[in-house]
Amino acid sequence: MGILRSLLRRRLRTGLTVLGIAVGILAFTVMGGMAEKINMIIRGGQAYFSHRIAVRSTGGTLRLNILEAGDVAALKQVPGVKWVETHIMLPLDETAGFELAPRFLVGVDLPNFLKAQQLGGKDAELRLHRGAWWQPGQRKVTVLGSAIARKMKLKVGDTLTARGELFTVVGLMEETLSVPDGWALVPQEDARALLTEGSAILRSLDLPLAATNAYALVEPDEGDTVTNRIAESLRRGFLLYSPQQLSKAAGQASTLLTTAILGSGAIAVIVGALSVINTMFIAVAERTREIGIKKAIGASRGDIAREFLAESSVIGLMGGLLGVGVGFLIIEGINWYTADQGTPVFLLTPRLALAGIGFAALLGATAGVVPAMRAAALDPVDALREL
Amino acid sequence: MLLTAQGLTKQYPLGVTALRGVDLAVGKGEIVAIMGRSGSGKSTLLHILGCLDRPTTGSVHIDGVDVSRLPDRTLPSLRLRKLGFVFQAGNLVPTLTALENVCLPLHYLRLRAHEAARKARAALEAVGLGDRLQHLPLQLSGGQQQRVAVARALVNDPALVLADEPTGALDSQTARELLALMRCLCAERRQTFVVVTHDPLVGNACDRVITMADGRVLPA
Repeated sequence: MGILRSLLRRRLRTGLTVLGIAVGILAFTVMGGMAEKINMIIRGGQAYFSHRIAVRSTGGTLRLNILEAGDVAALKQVPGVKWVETHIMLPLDETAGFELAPRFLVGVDLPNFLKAQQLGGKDAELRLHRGAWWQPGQRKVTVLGSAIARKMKLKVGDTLTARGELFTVVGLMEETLSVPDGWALVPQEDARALLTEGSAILRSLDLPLAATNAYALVEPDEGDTVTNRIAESLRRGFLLYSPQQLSKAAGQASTLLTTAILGSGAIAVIVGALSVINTMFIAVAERTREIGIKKAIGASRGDIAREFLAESSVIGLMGGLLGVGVGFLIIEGINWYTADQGTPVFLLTPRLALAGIGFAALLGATAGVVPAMRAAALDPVDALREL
Repeated sequence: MLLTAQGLTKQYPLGVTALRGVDLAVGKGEIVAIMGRSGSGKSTLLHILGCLDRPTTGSVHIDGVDVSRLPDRTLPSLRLRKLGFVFQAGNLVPTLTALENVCLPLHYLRLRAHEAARKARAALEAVGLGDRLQHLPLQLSGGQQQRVAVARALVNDPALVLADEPTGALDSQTARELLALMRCLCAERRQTFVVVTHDPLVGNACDRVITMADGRVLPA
């Protein structure tokens, strides 16, 4: 009865304790928001690569990281390879320097690309949000990822300027919260022209250039087997990444991030729990007579313990709500700014918000256990003597 | 007899003896004062009669039950159902309203909130505080606070009401009024009332006075 009034009676102390927990939960929320975002990108990558074996040329001494038409044809022949998706990837803006979410011009052969989307698993399928794909034979057109569209403030019908060339925006892709949000898909011929135009060697060699990146589409459980087959079938000088290898690397990155969240959570535990324990011990000492009276009129040990536990839980809950609330505002503020720069940095998911609030309430309850036990164990006669 | 005590002694660990063989018997509906100087053992006796403390030797029977042999865990329930307490000033929970203070025993009895509120309201009306239900203790006078405490002691309809210096912090007029109120309410409900006091005014208002000195009951 009267938990909130009891806490409000000591506003300053309760406020400071709530603030102590809120700071910890704020750290947890913001760190967690960043981890959620990066985990989302990792999951996007995992989904994308679960059906794909990435093939990259090491480029040899000339460092020409390209696949020739013969290489692609050899890939197609490998048993277990259902399809070979080819990209020509170039940085979209050579003068952009370091970008938090890098932007790429990705040259694709549209039928080849769309077939790969069908075979590459539902979770990794890139779909149109607005506009349409370009028609066969169309040049200097582009379909943009959501981050590029947002950052460069482009919509269907606008013109994208990339590497000195103009591309008409014909479509926008659905947001994936992952790497493809930074892609500007263009016809493969346009990308190939830009690539060779920038390289005197490529121009002079006049190689039958097919792609900078190739992906062999396979059944997810055949990744390692087919990767070995490709290694035996292709000429030397290629780097192969099997789905299992990529998944393992992604898993390790994800574990690292989860550890970071738990680390920030541990700070919340230490800071918050100590302040709750301190506050509750003081509350027990201050209210010894009140406890004595309650026990005299018939409150059991459990009744007294529950009252103090409820108070410490409410302190935790208020700290959690405040921490997650302020964290939400900070995340929204930074996301508003960084979305303008290309991509939001944080992702405050419902599970993260609920975890923050629940964790804080649990923390409050746990920290209140020892003080509550002490209150419950008070001898009523001794307690009544206090005045 | 509603309350009997036989051969009660109480010794504290450092060798202090508070009670040295107390026998007493109080009938149903009787109003009894326990008087004596400070240190005579009267508060210790009240705590033992109220199942807040245990005697070193001897026994206490309330309504025929030997409460001195009951296990600790059953005592809160016994106090909740059979006993009512009024202590000196400052025995209300300061953060709870008058109504909530009176609701407390009913809350511990797990009564539904609206039923508890109804009973508590009736109890406060019986002590003349029907218009002070939502007042916090600090917003009430000393006499009003003690009347809230009386309402709380009686709300669960106990067989035995124990009071420890209930008028200790009140002026004589307010003390007289409080005492008259308690007498009246206990008589109405045939409740037994044992009050520890050093105030002769209180003693005179009771059916019988038990005088204590040095841990013993003096012959009447």
